[in-house]
Amino acid sequence: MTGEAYDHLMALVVFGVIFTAAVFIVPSLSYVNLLYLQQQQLQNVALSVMKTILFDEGYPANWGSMHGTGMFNETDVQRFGLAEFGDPSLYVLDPNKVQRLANNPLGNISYAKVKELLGLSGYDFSIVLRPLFNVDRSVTIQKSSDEATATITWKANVSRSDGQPVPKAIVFPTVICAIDSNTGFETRTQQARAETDMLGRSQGTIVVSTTGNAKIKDVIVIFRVTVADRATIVVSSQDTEDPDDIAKINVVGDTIVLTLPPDAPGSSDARWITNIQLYNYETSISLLNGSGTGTQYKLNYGPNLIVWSMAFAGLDSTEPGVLIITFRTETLGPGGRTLAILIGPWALWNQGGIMKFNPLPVGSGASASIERDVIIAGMAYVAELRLWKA
Amino acid sequence: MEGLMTKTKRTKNQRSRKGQMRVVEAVMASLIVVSAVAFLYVFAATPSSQPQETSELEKIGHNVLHDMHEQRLLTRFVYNSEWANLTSGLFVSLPTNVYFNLSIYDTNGNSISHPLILYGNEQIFDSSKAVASVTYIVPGYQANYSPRVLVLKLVRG
Repeated sequence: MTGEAYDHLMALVVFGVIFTAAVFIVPSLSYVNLLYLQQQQLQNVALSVMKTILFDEGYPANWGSMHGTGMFNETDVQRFGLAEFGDPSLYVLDPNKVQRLANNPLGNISYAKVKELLGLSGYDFSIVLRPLFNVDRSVTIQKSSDEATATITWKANVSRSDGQPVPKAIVFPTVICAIDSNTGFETRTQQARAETDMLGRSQGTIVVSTTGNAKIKDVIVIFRVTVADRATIVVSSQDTEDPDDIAKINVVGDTIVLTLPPDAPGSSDARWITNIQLYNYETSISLLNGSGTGTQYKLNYGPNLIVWSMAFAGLDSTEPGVLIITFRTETLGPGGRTLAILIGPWALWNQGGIMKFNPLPVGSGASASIERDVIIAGMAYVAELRLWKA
Repeated sequence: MEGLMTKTKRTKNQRSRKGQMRVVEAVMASLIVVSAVAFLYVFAATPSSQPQETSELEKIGHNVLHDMHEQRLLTRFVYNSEWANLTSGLFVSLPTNVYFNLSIYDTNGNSISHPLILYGNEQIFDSSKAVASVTYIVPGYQANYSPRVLVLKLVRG
């Protein structure tokens, strides 16, 4: 009787083990395959979306700069794509369209609108534009008490996105000073050159001196970093306490548009443009030499967002890397007036060189990620698309 | 009395043997079912990641070479023998976990002499099952027509 009970018990245990294996292990094998299929499907959708974003101009083909005023309304866009208007080259993106992805004072396209135009109901996605490599920089600007000399000490560490240092990168720090002299206002440029060591580090000091009664009013440092002449990134650091109080620089087609929200602090102070320079990493071109007085160069603060605009023929085709605008401003402190430098034009400057469109966290399930090298305004960036199920 | 006890014992033994047989039957039946399922899995067309992986690497490789060509750097590096620049350019342009090995040929398939244009261990290109190969042709430099065939091998680390 006892032996029989043992036999049945043993049968029950063996059957239970095999049943458990059959119920849990076999379906899990299928589940792994299902997950993989889902991943593949996501990857295919992501590839298709990326192709549309990078290779399609969208409709209207110039949707990023279709209004001469620079203002933008997302309802005008009927098909989405970021490819350069009128350029048959692949992977070349239109800066006028890219700047509409960021929070732009002249108007931007919303995530919901892009999602609708791409037909991505049921999915969520994010787009990140970043430089090919990171440049961590620090700048210390020390001016002498008479403002005749400025000593700029800089450090720049170059690394890949995973933190791996990039040796032998060439770093060109360019110092731009706004100088107020007896004869008028001038902008002086001084450049240095350094190479990163095996740990991707470089550093140096630049001294700018003036003569006579000239005073250095504002200093800005632009870093041009290249690796094999290919990857070029420009970052900046400036002395002005809060440049956003003056205006924001926007370029739409051939037009430079300065904007400032009416409720911004200091928005009623009088300011005049004294100089506009186009800096293309190697050369500097003067676009405008204003007198710093008069209505033509005065920023018209008031209820309107746009405080100043002017068209410069051929500006768009020169791919303006950096625009340097010097202003004469009134101050409450002693001296009565000073100079300030602003750089622009577009959103990559405002966000540490990285632009995120829909920086929402990725869903907890499967996601697909695709990276491609792209060229925007002559500079190389990495465009990353992440896609996941909503 | 003794005969009755012997009969009862025999009956118990027979039942016990029957029980053991049931266990054996259950095990065998289960094994048959499991092995049938396993057998089916051998022939099931499970998707493989390798073709998609190499396809994606090929796209990345073509994209990087195209962009360097677009910026007029690729031809300069190749025809001016700027091999260190070519290696550095690929190093910063490709994703961080991708290793590369570039070879250059003329149109007759003869190898152009150049130092190793390599990132990563050379052996990984022989041992990995998902090596992508991108062939990219540059026609010449400035006014000189002298095509070069670039073969870029990529593998994920």
